[in-house]
Amino acid sequence: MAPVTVPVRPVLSCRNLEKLYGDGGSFTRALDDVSFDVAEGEFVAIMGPSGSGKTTLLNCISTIDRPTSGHVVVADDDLTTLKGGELSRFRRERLGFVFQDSNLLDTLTARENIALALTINHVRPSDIPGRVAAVAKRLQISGILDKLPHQLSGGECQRVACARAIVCGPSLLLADEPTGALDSKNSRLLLECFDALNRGGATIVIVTHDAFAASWAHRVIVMRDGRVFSELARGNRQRRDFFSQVMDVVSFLGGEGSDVR
Amino acid sequence: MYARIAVGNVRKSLRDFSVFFVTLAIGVCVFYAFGSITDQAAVVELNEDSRTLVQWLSGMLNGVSSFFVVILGALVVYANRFIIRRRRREFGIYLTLGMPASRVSLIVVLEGLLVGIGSLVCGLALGVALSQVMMYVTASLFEATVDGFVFVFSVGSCLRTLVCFAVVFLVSLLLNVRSVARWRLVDLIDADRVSERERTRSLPVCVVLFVVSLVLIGVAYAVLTEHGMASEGPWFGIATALVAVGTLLFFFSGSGFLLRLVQACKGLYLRGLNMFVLRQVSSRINTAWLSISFVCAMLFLAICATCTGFSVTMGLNRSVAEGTPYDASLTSFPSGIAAEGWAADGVQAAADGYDMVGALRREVPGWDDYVGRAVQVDTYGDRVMEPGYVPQLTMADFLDATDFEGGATTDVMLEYSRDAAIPFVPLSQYNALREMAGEDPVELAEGECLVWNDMAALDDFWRAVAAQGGPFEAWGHELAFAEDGVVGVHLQDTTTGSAITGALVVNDEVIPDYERPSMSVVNVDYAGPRDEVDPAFTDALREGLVDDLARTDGDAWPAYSYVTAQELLGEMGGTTLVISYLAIYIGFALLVGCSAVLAIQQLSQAADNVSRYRVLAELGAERSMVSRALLMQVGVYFLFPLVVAVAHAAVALASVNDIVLIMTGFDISQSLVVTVGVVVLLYGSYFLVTYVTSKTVILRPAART
Repeated sequence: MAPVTVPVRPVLSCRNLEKLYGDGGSFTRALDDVSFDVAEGEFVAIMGPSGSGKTTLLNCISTIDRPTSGHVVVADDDLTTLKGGELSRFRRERLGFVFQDSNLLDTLTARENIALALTINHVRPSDIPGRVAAVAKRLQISGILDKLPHQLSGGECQRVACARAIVCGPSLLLADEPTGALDSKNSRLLLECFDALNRGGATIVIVTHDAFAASWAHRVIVMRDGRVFSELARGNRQRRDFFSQVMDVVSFLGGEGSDVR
Repeated sequence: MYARIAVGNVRKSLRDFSVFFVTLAIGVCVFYAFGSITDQAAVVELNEDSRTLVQWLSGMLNGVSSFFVVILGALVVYANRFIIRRRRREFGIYLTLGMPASRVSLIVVLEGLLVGIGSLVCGLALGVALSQVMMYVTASLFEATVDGFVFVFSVGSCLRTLVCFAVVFLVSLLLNVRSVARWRLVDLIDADRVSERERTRSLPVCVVLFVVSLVLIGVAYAVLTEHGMASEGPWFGIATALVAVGTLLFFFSGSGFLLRLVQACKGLYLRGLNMFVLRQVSSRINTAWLSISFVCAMLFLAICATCTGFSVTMGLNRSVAEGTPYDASLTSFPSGIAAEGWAADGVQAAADGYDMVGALRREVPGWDDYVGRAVQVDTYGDRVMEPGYVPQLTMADFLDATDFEGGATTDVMLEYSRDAAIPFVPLSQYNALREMAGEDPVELAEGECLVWNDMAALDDFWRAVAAQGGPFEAWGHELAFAEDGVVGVHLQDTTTGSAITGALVVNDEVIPDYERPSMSVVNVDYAGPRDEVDPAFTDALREGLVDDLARTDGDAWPAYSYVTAQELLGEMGGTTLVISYLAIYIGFALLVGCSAVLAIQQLSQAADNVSRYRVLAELGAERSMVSRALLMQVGVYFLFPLVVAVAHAAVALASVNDIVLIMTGFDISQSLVVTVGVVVLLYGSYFLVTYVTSKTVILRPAART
């Protein structure tokens, strides 16, 4: 396993993250001295069994939660020092989110869901239709823009969510189990989207326990018991080869965390 | 254990229950307070007349109370079903865990009992407090006094409250249990998914329906304004039907139309959270348009009832104050009164030379001790009750000779009185009355006449007659109207503020000697202070005129009836009280009912909205932006029905105003201030509570970030 080198300046930098739940005598250490960097234009997957702390980690990065100690720096902003309004501002300008259940607003059409991210960002109304159309074209969802979420399939919803996440041009795209609720065909379609976005310059961090999804990334960070257990880099290998390597680690972990597929 | 689950559930969903609880408590409180009026009055020292009035009042209030219970009952059933439906998933979990359906029902029943008993106890406590306050108000309105502090607890009202609300609760519990028993597990577990599938409605259809609804409402407004409420024929019914259908369509299509409208203007639609709010509102209204229509109807009725009630009250108070310039008025009909089987020959009156004051002085013991000044006014030329009598002039003569367009109601009223005969009054008597009323006498040249009218609503008509009409002929004299031909002054004491709606004042010699008066009125000023003389004077009248008063089988002479200012003012105080209590009660019931429906709908929706608002936070919307969106959402939801109800009420009240104006000479718009105050206070506080509570529900999860 070659040491991971970060060629360009990091977009995301986690330093000695620690997160404790509970109080006084009995507490759980969800994150224990986690440190890693994500470079600009990188596609990173965070894997791990249930309870390994990967969702807590993502919550800390996405400012939904605060670490007990340590620092998260995204493009020169130390998130642990930001407050209320600044956090909102940071979220809407720098971050894009994709969740397991696409989290689209059920009362809005796909087009409006995407546009909402822009209106919240105070983008000029006249610019909005053009930007929505452009991102829809990139993700090949132009044909379904005027449908309501319940008229769309799970895969389509996730791609709309993806479009909503990137329409503002965030520094970092975060995805929490994006393929978790999708069948294999739709998973592949969504991952192709991520890949295409990544090739277009987007920095992506996904949390998953699906080895197939993880194998699309450049680098896989495997977590266990709140620590970084190992890091795998794809290098120049085929995805298929990388997939078997990821599977090996997963199988190794499988003895203890049997829910890892 | 089930009791513990029930207590826990109530505590957990305190928010869902809170509005329900408060509404019930208010309902019980008001129900008790108005139901205990009779017992309150028992403590107050009232005279005989006021007691009868209180009996009448409590009868009326009981009627309203049944209506109130029906509204509250419907609200309880509705709210319960709403809360239960929202908790389908929770019940599904109980069932999945293997709890038998009967136990789930038991939990529902226990919860219902807990909230019901709690609100009943709180409501009764508040009710006792409110009835204490009302007792003093009642006493002051009847100008009676309560000695010191008296605590009143009405056992009867308390029992009635308990029974009525027990029945309401029982019915709603039975309905709840039945709906729990009929659920299928799969529906319960999937409940959340299913409810997300909002029905979508084709926007172009909405736009068309919206335009149709506006047209219907517009036509209804036009019909009502054109024909008024008092008109004969189907017009009022047509207007009501049109406005009802129009309103239903309006709410059915309104949100869709609004959406299309704002979407068309991109600058507004694509700004901040406008898009989100609009979609939220329209999806809510799309599913709840029917209940919103009912809320609108209730609001409309509440506004109309309160406003009409207050204006009639204020109008009556003012008109009785204006209508009682003399201490007492006596009326007689020297030529008899009954139209059918008219038997009077006027012998006695003729023997007295039609001198009513003289006859009264003879008949009433101690007349001169009580009476300081007495003025008699006779009317001639309108003895239509006498077979074969042809009046000199009728309303038709004036209506045909005059080009006049009043409001719808005035026109209808004028048409009604087309056949009425016009009375004539000699100038000397009229001037004597003017002097008594403190006015300067008027003068007439030969062949001139004046219109005597004290009903403000008809002033314009008579002015038009005086300006355009004439000359008319009476007893062979040509009569033209003098300049400024309309004069006032009250003919006698009345409660309505007007007693003469168009008589001609003519020079004495116009009326021939052979003509007998049809009606004579004597107005009296007492020799001493009113409250001292009045009781003795009325006793003397009853004693002296025992054979004459209210007599229809012979001469109604020297007096057929009498009124005293003191008596009228006293009566009116009571009537005013009755009407204002009724108006407040009805308006209150309707307002609380419809505000509670809206509040419960919004609050139970708030839980569903938590996830939507969390998405907004994740997209980076600031707190202030989110609370503004919430304020708009709740605000539009509350404002939409209010605006429509206010528009309907404005048109309806304009029509009611015509009637009230004619009845009492009082302009309804003055009581609008009071009505608006009541509406803003009640409806507004429900709105505020809803907004604040939704905000805590929705913003709490986001507060961690």
